[in-house]
Amino acid sequence: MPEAPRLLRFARRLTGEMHAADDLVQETLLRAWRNFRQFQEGSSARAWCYRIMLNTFYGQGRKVRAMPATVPLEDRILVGATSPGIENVEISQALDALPAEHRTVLLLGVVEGFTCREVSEILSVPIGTVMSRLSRARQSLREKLSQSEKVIP
Amino acid sequence: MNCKEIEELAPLYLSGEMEEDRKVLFHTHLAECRSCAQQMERLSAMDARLRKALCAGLPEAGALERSVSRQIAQKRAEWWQLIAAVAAVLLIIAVLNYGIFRPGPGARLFMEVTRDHRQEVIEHQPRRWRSGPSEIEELAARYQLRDVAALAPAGYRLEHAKMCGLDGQPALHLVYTNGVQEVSLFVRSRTGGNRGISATSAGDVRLASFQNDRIQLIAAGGASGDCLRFVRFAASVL
Repeated sequence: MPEAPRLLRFARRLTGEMHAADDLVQETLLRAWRNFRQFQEGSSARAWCYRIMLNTFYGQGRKVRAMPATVPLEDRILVGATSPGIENVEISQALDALPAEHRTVLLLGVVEGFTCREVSEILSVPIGTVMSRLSRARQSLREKLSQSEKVIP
Repeated sequence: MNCKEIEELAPLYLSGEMEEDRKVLFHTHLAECRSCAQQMERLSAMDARLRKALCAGLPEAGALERSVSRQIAQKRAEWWQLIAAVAAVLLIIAVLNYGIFRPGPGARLFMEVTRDHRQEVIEHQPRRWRSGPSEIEELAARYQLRDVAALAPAGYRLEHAKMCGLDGQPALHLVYTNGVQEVSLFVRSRTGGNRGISATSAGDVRLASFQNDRIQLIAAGGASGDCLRFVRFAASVL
């Protein structure tokens, strides 16, 4: 299970809770094992795992997480695997403030390093939709960052 | 390529998916348009900042992996237990069916006699027949019988004999002939059941048997009524 650490990192971002993230990864890996016959040879196994994870998470009727601003800094660092440092916390906060749709494409396409085509497979949306979502998400993130830069003296 | 196209295709460029010929056109525009070049630099720097912030290190997932492996092993074991349980149920059903529908003793003897005959005559599996009187008496002595030639009614003479298996038991197979018909007389140790004479038939095959405290005689073949006549006579001699 070479993907487990990466899946766990993504799950922590998705759920915002350590235990919930552990449970989500376990469920994802078990589902992947059970449904391995459905995996199409030639496609990306890694993308397939992320797709299962997102389906599991949203299939559980969870609301998309919006990390509360009251979570202490240390917990944020721990949960989000954010590197310490004010700059890093700033961009992490800006990401959390984005709508879920934008946050998800940035996490998959930028942080996890999936191509636009792979993100389109994971989210089951056309590649054109992924590209326009990524453009809007980058634009929103840039705006959030420039707002926070204005606030910080 | 114009500025709008650059904006639309930026995600493919930043993810490294852009085809080479398109990338040449993309770079050509960036070299000519300062505004687009700056925008791409800003986006690229922001991506790098995001990665640096969130990819600081991978969390430890060893315990999680071990837990998943354990659960998979457990589920596999449960699967095998289920298969074993289903197999056991099928076996019980098969045994019960056999107990209910298995052929009765008379029918089993028919089957054995028919099988033995088929193996010898049709499948050409020669038996070790003995035709010398002393050899036959030697076999009969196993059942404490003497002068088995005299067990046949008038008109029949002893032709030959052999040892065979009958319903899982060794038996002495004696063949008598009157020149036209042949009658087989099987001798084996008593298997239980009622003493005396009984007859059974299946289609045009008839069997008659006689049983005392020690042995059972079974007659098969011959003309209609010959079997019964044979065992009655043999019983009177014994």
